[in-house]
Amino acid sequence: MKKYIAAILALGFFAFAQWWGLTQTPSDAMMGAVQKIMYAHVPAAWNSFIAFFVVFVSSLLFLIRKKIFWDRLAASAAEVGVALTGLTLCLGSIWGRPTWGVWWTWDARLTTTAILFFLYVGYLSFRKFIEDPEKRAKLAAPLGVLIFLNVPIVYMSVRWWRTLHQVQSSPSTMDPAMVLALRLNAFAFLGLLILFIYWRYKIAKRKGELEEGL
Amino acid sequence: MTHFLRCFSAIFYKDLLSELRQKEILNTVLFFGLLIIFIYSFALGTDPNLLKKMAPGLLWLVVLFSSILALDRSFQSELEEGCLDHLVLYAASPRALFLGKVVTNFFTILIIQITSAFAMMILFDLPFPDNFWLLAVTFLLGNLGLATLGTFYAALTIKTKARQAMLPLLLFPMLIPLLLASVYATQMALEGTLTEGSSAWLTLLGIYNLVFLTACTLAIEPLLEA
Repeated sequence: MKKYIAAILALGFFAFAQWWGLTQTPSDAMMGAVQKIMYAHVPAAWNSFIAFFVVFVSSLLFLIRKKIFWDRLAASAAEVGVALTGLTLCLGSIWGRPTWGVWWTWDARLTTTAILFFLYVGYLSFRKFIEDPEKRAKLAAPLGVLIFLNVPIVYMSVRWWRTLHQVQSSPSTMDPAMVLALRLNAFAFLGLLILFIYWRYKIAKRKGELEEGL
Repeated sequence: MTHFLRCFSAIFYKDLLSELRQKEILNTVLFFGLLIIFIYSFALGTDPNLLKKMAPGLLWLVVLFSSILALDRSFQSELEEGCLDHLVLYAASPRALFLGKVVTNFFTILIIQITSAFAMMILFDLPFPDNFWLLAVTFLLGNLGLATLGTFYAALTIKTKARQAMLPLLLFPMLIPLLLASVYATQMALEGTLTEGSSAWLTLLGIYNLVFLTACTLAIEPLLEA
């Protein structure tokens, strides 16, 4: 029972935050109920960036410290980050269809997120093709660093290319109830992020021990 | 330092000599590039205005696809007979080895690019570029970035099982800023109209090259020893 406490807390808080966002906030004046997607879309996007930052820092630390812990952490964070980015893109698409009238548009932030998705899917599939864990760690670490360095450059270039995404709402332009719900959900997703990375890390560690035992 | 430079030039000389003797890359890759340009007309139609409008993008796509073949060769030939391990052991530092390969690939891609550009000028009836120097700078900066990241990723994927599928899968998303900047700067050079916007794209290319040349040179050492 004890080892499930963290999971129950994180999932419970997530369910509560989502319920809060869906029922305790006013509907948007223009978009109506569709706007409620924001309470999952925006937190998922924010937290996927946190996950990718964890990949970057762990990869860098692996290059310095050479401890397998950092490699496993980078792999776990990359997987969770890819899942959250995929969720962001899907939810954004569902929101975009009624709001903008299209499933997809070549806006700067959309395109950057999609490129990020491709980059980290590449990172994960690269890992799958190397069997020796030590070699995999050594080869994946520089990749994890390079990809993250590319993110600001990708964003800059795509922004010059074209921009359509609505200007970000700031707390001053939003209803206070919406801001509260958004923040609640951001922390709920952060809890999930930590939980998932921890679970993935434990699986990676056991797999590693199994490989060593063979 | 002199040892580093000697290693660097030895690698460059070795690769150049091997390429000039075998003509493996130039013969196959150049022909492949010409073939793609030829095939474009079948896929896109022969409307000269359309082809002229799309020429910068098409040019960089040919360069991208052809250089993937050349980049893939640059480490594969070392892997046969186990040359790579010996090179890593002999060379002053893996960095000299890496930079030597970057320079070789830079020249290979430059040859691919100039040939493709000429072929497109003839087949698509493009006029001589209005702003020749802008075009030249764009080619050089774009090629440097392509050669740097391409060589690095070639060294990375050489150690995996699905090497040939892996290289473009990892490399192409990384090259998106480079592709955007190069295509738009090339377009401005060819049309000679919007020259003010070109300096922004050239700056982006410069930053891109600086960041990745530094990062790749720093990161190549653990990679080649893995």
